[in-house]
Amino acid sequence: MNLFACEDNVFKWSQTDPESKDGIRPLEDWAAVFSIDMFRRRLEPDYLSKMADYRKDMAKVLTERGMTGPWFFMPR
Amino acid sequence: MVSDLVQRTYTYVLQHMIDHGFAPHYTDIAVEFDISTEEARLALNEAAEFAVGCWTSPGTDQVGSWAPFNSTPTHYRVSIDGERKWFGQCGLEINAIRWLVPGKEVLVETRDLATAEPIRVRYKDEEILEIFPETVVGHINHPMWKWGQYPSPDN
Repeated sequence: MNLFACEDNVFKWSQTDPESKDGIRPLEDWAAVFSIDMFRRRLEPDYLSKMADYRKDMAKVLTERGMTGPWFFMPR
Repeated sequence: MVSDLVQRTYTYVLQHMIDHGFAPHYTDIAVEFDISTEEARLALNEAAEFAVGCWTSPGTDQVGSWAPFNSTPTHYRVSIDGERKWFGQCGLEINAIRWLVPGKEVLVETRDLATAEPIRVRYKDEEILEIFPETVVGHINHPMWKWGQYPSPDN
């Protein structure tokens, strides 16, 4: 899970899976994903017991950002 | 069901990372909660197992990573309000550091893994203040739903 200066550079890295093109997204998309309560509420005193609830918005934000392919959701 | 001790251990480690830039040892946890070192060691490992993005370094009881931070250096160098002493876990979790330090500016400096070009991202609360270069992308090498199968974030 890394940052690259541009999309073309991703496939210049020796460790990149050649099948992982769908896993490339603008930083703004990842910033949105990492803004759900699962990431905002980590310091709350009951965080671990509520983590599953906080995670529920993940699918919603992925869908809103068009991150709907098999790199983001398990194929049915 | 997670115990109160495990929850408090999780929070203590995260707050320690925020305050100091590195994780506490389990002996520090023992002192903090007035428990035995063995109870602290077990609580630390249970918290790491239960929480997402937290782990001990392989073969040890020392925290390696406690999302969104890393306790050992990574190429994601983090400054908060101008003080540079943290390391981000990976290129995605760096987006979540700002939620732990409300009202403060978070600067992430790193380099492209392929070309070593400099990359900078600055945040403050809801705002992304700077992305340099503007073409920056985040990449995941494995499908998100398989992340639990991999021991590290491919840094």
